[in-house]
Amino acid sequence: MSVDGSAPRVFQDQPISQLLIKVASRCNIDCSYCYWFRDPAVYSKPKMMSEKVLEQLLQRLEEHVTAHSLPDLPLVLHGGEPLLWGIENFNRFAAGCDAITMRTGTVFPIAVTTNGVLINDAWADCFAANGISVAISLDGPSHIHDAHRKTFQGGGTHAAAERAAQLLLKRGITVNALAVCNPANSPKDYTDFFADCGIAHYDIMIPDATVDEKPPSIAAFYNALFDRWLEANRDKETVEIRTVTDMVAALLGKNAPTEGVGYQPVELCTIMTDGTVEAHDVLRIAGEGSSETTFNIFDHALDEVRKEPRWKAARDASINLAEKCRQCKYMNVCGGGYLPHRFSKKNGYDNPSVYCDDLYAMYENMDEVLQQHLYVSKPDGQRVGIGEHSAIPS
Amino acid sequence: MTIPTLKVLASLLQLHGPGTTVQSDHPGINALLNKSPDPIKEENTGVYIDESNSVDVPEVTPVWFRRAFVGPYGGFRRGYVGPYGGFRRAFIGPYGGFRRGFGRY
Repeated sequence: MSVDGSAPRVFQDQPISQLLIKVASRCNIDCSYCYWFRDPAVYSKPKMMSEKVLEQLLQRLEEHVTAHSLPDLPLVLHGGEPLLWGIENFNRFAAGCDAITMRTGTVFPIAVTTNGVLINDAWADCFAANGISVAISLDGPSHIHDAHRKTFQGGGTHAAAERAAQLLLKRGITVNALAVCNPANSPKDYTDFFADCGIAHYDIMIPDATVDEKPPSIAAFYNALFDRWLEANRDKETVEIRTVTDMVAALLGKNAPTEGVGYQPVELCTIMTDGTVEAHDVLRIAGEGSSETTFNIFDHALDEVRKEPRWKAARDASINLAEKCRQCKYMNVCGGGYLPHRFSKKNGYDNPSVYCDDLYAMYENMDEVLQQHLYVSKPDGQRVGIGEHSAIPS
Repeated sequence: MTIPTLKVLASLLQLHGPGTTVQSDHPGINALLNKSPDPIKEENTGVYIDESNSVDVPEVTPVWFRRAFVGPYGGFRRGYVGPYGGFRRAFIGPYGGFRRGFGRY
């Protein structure tokens, strides 16, 4: 039972509706906060996805979309650094998806998340020709980015990442940027940088940490970032800062934010370079082999992963919230925060987020601001501001 | 204690009846209000909303992987023809193939 007395929600099963595909298990740079290499098990995987695994994956994709009559199935190519897989393999993969589309009608939106270091005109051609969405890991200006995103020789990678973003933008290819928040810096540093670059869609993600760690507070950073977002969109909608817009959307009762916002099951499925199937990729933050399952695409259909105990445990953990969360007025908009941030060695995922106090402060701040900007429009044209109303149940 | 916006909105919509809409004087917030067709729902608020005139909505919608830009908030441009200047491939359906919001689960 939640704090408002409503019954717990029941979530229907649905087919796997997006896939994270690890086409390369290694990376060409050495970021200090990468969750991927926290788990030594990744070194046991092949460096690249082989042609044999790719062919099997395409076969499983076709079986899956046919069995469930899916109109679309988003695919995220990821790593390590996915561009290490090579242009030829990207083209082969996209052509395989297109062939399935021709036979089934299912569309495969393809996205890639890259550090950008390898991007050149040939890659831009590949993205454009295959309609691949690109997100570049770019932590804002160089003094923030280069503090963590380094080469193996210890040099910064900002210049290469920014060059990649500019190259794509000049080609007319939309660039999304993924930054990690460093609350020691001002949000203005990030928003000014992305505005100067011409990047209008980006995220500044909450840093990964488990309950066993003591990360710095982030509330002041995100409250100031929310102010920046409000200002940037004051005259018209121009900038999307995904963590902010997801939280606002959740407060407005909208579905389908990214994971970490909203009370929904996290049903992500990861295909590794050897064809093994894993649960949520980021759960490896919990330690060695923590996201591994016993399933693989050679022996199992994609949807069979729903029966796999570790995958199911992760899925169930995403909706079985800690007692403190169940009593919180923001349970349905927060959903306990990002699942990996709830992990502790002692309780597993049965914890509030390590950022619980921050998240509460962020939602409360947004709530107050939203209510100043919302009104009810009646059919006769009358407007009723929220503040003008007294008949609201407490 | 601040009452959550969602609960306030649900109450106001219930009070003022059919045809009432929630809007914002801030373009960014208004865009988010209008971006998704999902109505404010009873289970989100603990307040009953009459949805007899609303479209059937899925119980579960995809939760997007945050280390990429996919889905309705960040989106791929593959096949999507819209205001964001997407690529024009796999042109199927009114939005170029990718239906935002997933209507069938």
